[in-house]
Amino acid sequence: MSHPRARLIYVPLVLGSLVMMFPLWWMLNISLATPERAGAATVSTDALRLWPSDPQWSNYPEAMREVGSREWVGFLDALTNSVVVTTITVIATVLSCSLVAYALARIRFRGRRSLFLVMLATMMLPPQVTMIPLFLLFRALGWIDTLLPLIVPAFFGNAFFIFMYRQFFASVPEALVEAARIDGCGHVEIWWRIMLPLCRPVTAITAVFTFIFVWNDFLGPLIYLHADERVTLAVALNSFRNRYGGLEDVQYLMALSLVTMVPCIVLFFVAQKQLIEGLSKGAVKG
Amino acid sequence: MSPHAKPRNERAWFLVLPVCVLVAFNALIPLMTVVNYSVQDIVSPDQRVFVGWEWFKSVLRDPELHAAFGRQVLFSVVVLAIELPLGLSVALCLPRGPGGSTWQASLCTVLIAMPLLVPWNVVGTIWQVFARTDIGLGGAVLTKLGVDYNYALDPVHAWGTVVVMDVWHWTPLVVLLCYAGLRAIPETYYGAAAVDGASRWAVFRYIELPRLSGVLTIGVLLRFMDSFVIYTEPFVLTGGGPGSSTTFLSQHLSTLAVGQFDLGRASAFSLIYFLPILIVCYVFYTLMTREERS
Repeated sequence: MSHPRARLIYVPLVLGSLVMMFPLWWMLNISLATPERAGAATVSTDALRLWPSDPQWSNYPEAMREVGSREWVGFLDALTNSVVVTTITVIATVLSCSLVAYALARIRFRGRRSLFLVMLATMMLPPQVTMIPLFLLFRALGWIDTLLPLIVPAFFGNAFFIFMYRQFFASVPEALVEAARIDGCGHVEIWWRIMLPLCRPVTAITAVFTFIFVWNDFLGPLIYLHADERVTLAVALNSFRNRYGGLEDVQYLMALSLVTMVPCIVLFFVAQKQLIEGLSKGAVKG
Repeated sequence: MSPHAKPRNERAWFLVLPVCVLVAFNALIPLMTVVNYSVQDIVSPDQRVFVGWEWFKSVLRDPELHAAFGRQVLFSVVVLAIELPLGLSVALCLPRGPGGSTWQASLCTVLIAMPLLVPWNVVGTIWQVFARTDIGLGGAVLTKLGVDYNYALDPVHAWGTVVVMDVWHWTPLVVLLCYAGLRAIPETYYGAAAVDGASRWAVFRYIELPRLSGVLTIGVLLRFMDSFVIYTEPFVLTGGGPGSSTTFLSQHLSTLAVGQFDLGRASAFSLIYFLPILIVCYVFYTLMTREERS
């Protein structure tokens, strides 16, 4: 793609990227505004200024300090909870999804097709349908106000990632598996030593997307966590929104939203290459 | 693959145990509860009357449900009709060098993917503030341009805003999928097309489009599923209003279940809601496994 017209292609691309970035830039712009500007002045032409004339970086520590009922502690608690839930969930999801997908893709057993179909159906079940029954179940187990309802289900896998892993595993040459079997490997060893190393891009997709979904998940933590020191960052952000949603405080809300997004953005930057590779390998072969 | 190519292995059920628990957790237990509620009138745990199909009949006759269903289908269709062609064309514009991606392409990918990283409830908040006519930049600019824009009062404007928000939020996913699909087309295909003197359109029509059918199927179904159960974003943005013009199925269901605590009707509704989803799921499954079987 070296002909000169290829250069022209960057024009719509740059414009498109700018459109996508626009609301985020605007968020950043507001998060740095002074109280007076954030509230009223955004209507005037002043709003179109590329960068605030007087950036209020102190909005950020200010917003973080005000999370929860105790200064700073609320923010740190929420951050810790989010990190704990997200880390364990990511590891559990990768392990259980790939193991299940291995069985579904490479082992022939009775009921395999119907099991796969039923599993796909659960993937499309609207969360509102399962919300109340699950809440009753977790309450009966005494798990309300602990992180368990958010962590434990991850060990049972997630239909979408099982699906992605399965598509990928199905395309691994049979000869490779056969060779391993002759060398005396059982299913678990084939899964751990051959399949998992071969499908690092799919693992990257699973890990990154699970991270983003769990980090941003709002409904789950909202239902199961009530105590102030138990909530995750997404819920803390929402109560913050209810408390500081007024026009005069909108800059704090935007600042805290951006702080919440930082880990996801960093992770996506780092894993971007692996992700594209994984999508092209995992998705196209389907 | 013939059915006897490999010996069956019943021990595999042990490895699939997590998925059985998943299905039980996410589907069987909730569905049983829902079925239980949908055929009985449960006043209290020991006061229940079997009512048979009554809830289903009353829900199916509900004009509100018909309206919400119509809106839901329209929304999914509109969103798919915009996001897929748009995402595909953006992906076609992204440069893809022969040996892996160029840094320009990487940068574009990351920039384009940004909206995917925004927390769902923040997406609603951003657009809520952004589209306000008094303080929001988008709303203010539209007003300056002479459009009498107010998404909180005008149903058409509310719809437009919800659709634009969804397009902004989810087109990046289509772009990523299509871009990944395009990257996987071997360079030799383009070489052969160049030798044959194929036009750009012919390359797209006879090489790229067929090779993308897999990712496009995934794209269609992912976007259909998500848009069919959309909840958080319109809820934060418009709260289903003005009137009920942006009340989609899931929000109607939540109002019925949590708002009015009408569990009988809500359960019957959930089961009816699940039906189109199951059908689409079956189509999805058939399409995805078609090549494996042939």
